[in-house]
Amino acid sequence: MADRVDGAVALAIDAADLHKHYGSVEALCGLSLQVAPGSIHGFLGKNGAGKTTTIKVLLGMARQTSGHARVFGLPADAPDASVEIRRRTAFVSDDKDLYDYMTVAEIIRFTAAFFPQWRVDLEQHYLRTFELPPDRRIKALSRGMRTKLTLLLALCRRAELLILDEPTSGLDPAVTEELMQTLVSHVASEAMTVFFSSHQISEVDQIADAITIIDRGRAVVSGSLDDLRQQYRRIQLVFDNDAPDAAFSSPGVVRTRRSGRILTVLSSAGAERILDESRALNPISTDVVPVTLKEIFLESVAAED
Amino acid sequence: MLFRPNPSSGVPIYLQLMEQVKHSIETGALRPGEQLPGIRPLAEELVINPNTVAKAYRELEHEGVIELRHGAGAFVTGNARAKKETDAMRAGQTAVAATIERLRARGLSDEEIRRLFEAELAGHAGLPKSGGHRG
Amino acid sequence: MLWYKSWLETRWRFLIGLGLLSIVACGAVFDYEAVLKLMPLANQLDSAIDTSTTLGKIIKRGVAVQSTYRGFIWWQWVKQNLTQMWVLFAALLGSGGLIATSGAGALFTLSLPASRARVIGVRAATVLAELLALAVVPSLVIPLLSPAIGQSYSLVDTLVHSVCLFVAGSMFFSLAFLLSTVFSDLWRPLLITCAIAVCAAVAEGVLMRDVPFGMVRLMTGERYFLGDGVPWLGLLASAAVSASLLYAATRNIARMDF
Repeated sequence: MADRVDGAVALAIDAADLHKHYGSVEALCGLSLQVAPGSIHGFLGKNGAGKTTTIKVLLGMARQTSGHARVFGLPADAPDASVEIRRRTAFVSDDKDLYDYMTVAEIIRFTAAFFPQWRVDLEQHYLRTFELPPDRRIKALSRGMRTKLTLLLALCRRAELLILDEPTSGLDPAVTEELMQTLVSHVASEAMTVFFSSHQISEVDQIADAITIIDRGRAVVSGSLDDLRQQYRRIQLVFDNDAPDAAFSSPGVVRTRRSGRILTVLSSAGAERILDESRALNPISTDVVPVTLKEIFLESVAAED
Repeated sequence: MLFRPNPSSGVPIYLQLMEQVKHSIETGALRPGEQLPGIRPLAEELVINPNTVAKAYRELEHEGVIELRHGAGAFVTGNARAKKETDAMRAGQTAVAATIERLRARGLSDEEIRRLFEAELAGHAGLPKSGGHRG
Repeated sequence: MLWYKSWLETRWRFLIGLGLLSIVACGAVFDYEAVLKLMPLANQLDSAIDTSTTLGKIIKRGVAVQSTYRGFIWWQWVKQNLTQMWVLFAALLGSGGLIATSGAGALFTLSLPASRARVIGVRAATVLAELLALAVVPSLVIPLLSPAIGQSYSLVDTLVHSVCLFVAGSMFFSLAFLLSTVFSDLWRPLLITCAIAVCAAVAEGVLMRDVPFGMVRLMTGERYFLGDGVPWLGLLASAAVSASLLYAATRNIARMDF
């Protein structure tokens, strides 16, 4: 909830034209990403689209081939800066992999040692509400409990930025709801930026301020969720005879589909102008409906025709 | 607040929340001078972004529907503007009820009726109605 | 807390090594009584040994050295048991645990505000401390237990041999450590290091028989045993090799993509 100062707001995450090759595989092909401080930013993409690679680059776990990535204005690929970034960032990985041989209490003590500002009050609070047994070995925890433990370790360290990779994957709806509530509650009381990747579009829909959709290593959609909801429209034109093979010159046409007598246009902006253009085709009826985030996602990552 | 935000309706959640607050005021569930839930508890209860609640409250204050008292919270304003809207809303409610009855009599299902209303409203979100007629 | 984590990851291997080596040390001391009984027989056979063959020379030398308690301990405990088992544990403790394997929380560690150099530096330091303990503590059994069989063994000798083994033998730990930055499993670094150790020892035994220096001689402190003083130069050289291997491991980890 940062107030906007005129001009430059220091971005929490700022990546431009990131490329990353693993041998012959191109994981990132010119990804750009901007996350405003104090926002909740959703990161959507198919499996293998490059979400985890992006996060690894931001946290200094992997080094980009080219392009720059900055967190808190610090370069993510400089080792010293990266340590500073990680001092202020908390990370919950996709696999929730922790030290199997430690107990809950041991890993909390271990992690707390790295953060002088560790919130003991929050630690007690989350141990209670998550019902985590301190003496249980991590190997013996269920997936849901491991996720909650990882979240506890992330939230108690007074991080400015929280990066979550698929936080609710593999969790039942009750635990998912609990996690979302915890997240929302924590964001409300601390000044914090949240950057999370997810397959659960409904979750992103519910709590994100802004999103970025990544496909094949590149950002294909990004912006404030409210703006996207107000800009994206699906226009359906019905004709007397077979729909014409129309090409719209207005910008903002994402996809055009013909099916029998119906022509459907998905527009990301400027639906007005498209409607104007469509009048020339003499449709017998025109329908304009809003588009859900799920539809935006599916259309944006669809295979090229 | 009995309200479930619908992220997939194409309407930003903060607008839905604003509508819900206005609706509550119009039906008397919230009276002038009464306090609204705090931003944080409301966000927690609805499991939505606190920024969204904050934005809705800011806009409502801008419209004069509520006032944000520094440190104390959000309160419903007691002004004539809200009262005027209440009267308009009552008239609107009657009109909507009548229209829905007519459409049902024509054999349309509730789902179809809802779609018509949503499409009409979405079409009017900054767009001029154009082209053709409805069959 | 990184120290604690490294300890948790290596403690069983360390404690087992400590126990095993200590038991073998006890065994060596009590073995001497049996050797004493065989001594007259050995002397009788001494003249029968054909010293024109390599094997004959080795056997004759062995008998000669082990005719004293100090010599016996050096030949049996320092040269064989301690050196061989210690090198095995050096390789074992150096292997595994650096690159991602499931259950190891590699990404979690990497997300902490600690540089990679610090993480593996602490890991290496912890294991080196354990290896020093493995070289010294079981060896202390010898001077402590010798009076029980009516013998005595110098504490200084114990410490010198332990330190020689630790410094010279640390090369094997460092090698296993470096290999662990290349292979993610436990077995390949361990087996490769052991194979190299065996080959090097055999090669030295065959090719450098008549030369007064060598890796094995350094580890067993042969020069010191023979009264020629502590082999400082050799120890320095092996420490340098160790350090280089560890440095290479750090460079590997620093530029790795996880």
